[in-house]
Amino acid sequence: MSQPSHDPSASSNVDARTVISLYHASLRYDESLALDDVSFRVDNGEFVFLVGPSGAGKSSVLRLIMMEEMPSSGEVVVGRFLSTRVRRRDIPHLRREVGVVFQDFRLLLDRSVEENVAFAQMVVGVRRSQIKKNVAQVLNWVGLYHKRKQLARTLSGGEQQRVAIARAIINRPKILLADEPTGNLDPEVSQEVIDLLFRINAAGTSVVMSTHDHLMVRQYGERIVSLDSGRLVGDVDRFRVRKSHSKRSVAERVVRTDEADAVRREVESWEHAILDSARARESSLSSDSEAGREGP
Amino acid sequence: MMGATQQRYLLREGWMHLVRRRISGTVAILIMASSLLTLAIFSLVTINLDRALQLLRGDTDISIYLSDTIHPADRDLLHKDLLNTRGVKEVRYIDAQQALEAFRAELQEDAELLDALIANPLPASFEVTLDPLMQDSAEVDDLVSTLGRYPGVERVVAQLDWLRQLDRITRGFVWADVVVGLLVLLSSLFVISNTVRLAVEESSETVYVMKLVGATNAFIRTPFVLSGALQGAAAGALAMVLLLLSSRFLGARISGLVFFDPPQLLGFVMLSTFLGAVGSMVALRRHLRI
Ligand SMILES: Nc1ncnc2c1ncn2[C@@H]1O[C@H](COP(=O)(O)OP(=O)(O)O)[C@@H](O)[C@H]1O
Ligand SMILES: [Mg+2]
Repeated sequence: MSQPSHDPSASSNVDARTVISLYHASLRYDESLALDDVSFRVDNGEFVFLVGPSGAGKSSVLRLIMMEEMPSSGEVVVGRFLSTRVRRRDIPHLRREVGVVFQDFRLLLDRSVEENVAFAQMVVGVRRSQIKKNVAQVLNWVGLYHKRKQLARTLSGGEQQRVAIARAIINRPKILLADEPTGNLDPEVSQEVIDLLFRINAAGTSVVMSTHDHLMVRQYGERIVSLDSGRLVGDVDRFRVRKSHSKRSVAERVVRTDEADAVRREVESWEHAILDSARARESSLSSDSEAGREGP
Repeated sequence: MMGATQQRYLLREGWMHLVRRRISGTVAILIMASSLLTLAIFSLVTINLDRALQLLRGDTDISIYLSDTIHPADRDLLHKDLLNTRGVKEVRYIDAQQALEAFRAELQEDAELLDALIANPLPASFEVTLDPLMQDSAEVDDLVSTLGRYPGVERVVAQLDWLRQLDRITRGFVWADVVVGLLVLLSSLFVISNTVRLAVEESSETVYVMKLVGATNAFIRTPFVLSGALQGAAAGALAMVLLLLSSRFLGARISGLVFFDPPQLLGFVMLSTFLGAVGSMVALRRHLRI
């Protein structure tokens, strides 16, 4: 990290490499406190797993980042958008920089694959000829060009999620949020979706993916932010050494998954680290996670 | 600012809202058209009554004919008193010469008959216009007899009572027009906002996705506003067609009926289109959370 003594409350002092920051963010829904004083940062090009049991607040964190909700206290900074200063009419511009995919895909089921993806570009005012090109390109990329004319409802779950991903990335967002994107999918299909997200990340997009699939986190996770009952209980990076290289090739990741055994050993130490940091963060969360993520 | 692709989309989407909701949309259009038709008929009745009245009565409500020998001081006193009388709106003094000229103008080509006259036989007069809201028969009768007692007044002629009655009725119609207009306004807003509300509820998923991918609020709202405006335009056009047909029918039976001219008809359709757009904005304010 380039700023060891980063003051979490000084939102104006944003690291150029930081694309998302939560500063002591809390989110209250009527009576219940969905998020309680959560702070963490995501750097440009990072792949972050957001883990925790159901109801922990994962979706709430993502809703804060896409500014569907505003923090009840604290601040959320996404790119040049500050939750404390953003105006309602700025939100659409934020959304163009943040792609989102969901567990339930949220496609327009009675429209074709092509239309679903083109929709995202039409809405922001891209010219038709350009839309056609971009849609073809991105559908090719997710491997669904041959199904472009089909209605979304006729696709399998995995295919629908790939369409949703295509829609989320066609405007070339700097950030991709994925809220349990594999939650409704079989393991092999989940694998395809994860691979896709890694490829997107490798191309330079920061990805924040929530999941409660521990196996997946064990297998792939490097930066892992853990939530429980709305509180941040861990923020660790298992591959600190490589931290400075934010763009990695897919091949590198595949190699890494082959090193599963080595990874597993690290995971155990990571799980201890989560518990440790959970105990330690009470007083000084930011310096704690800062230290945990600092390169040697 | 907005590209052709977007405009095409917005138009098609606005149209699709109507197509998808064609039953309730048609009902809304019919209700709105019939209330617009009612308003148009009320206005036409008023216009025609008013015109008939203009033809039947002269410009003045009371004419006070003065003797040739009236003393100027008496004349000035009468003038002053008239101006101070409650219910008098306007007083014009017409001297004998002006009266003759007016008469000459009325006679047109027969005017040379007047050249035979050695002296002007016409009297000078005060022409009094009463405030239309103040004229009640008893009051007018009182005024007439009071004026008759002024020195130098030869004769006082008041407008016929039933004409004044008709005048009051016509003015009553203007108020009815205002009330009917307000009712039409409200019912139109209600029926249109209702169909737009249904469209909004049906499109909640699309609206969510649009927000997700960064559509501006104006962009999200436009198709709904368009669908409301389209319904308004359709209702207005339908009402005007019905009105045209019925006026053909009536016009063949009653001569001299006044009807809306094309710019007024167009204005009516535009008003109705505007009402449709406003109705959908009402619905959007209440039901579209963006
Ligand atoms: N719209 C809402 N209204 C009230 N409570 C909510 C709402 N959304 C989430 N919550 C509550 O906030 C907490 C966190 O929810 P969420 O962020 O969805 O968790 P997760 O995604 O980790 O399952 C839960 O206790 C949930 O009941
Ligand atoms: Mg969730």
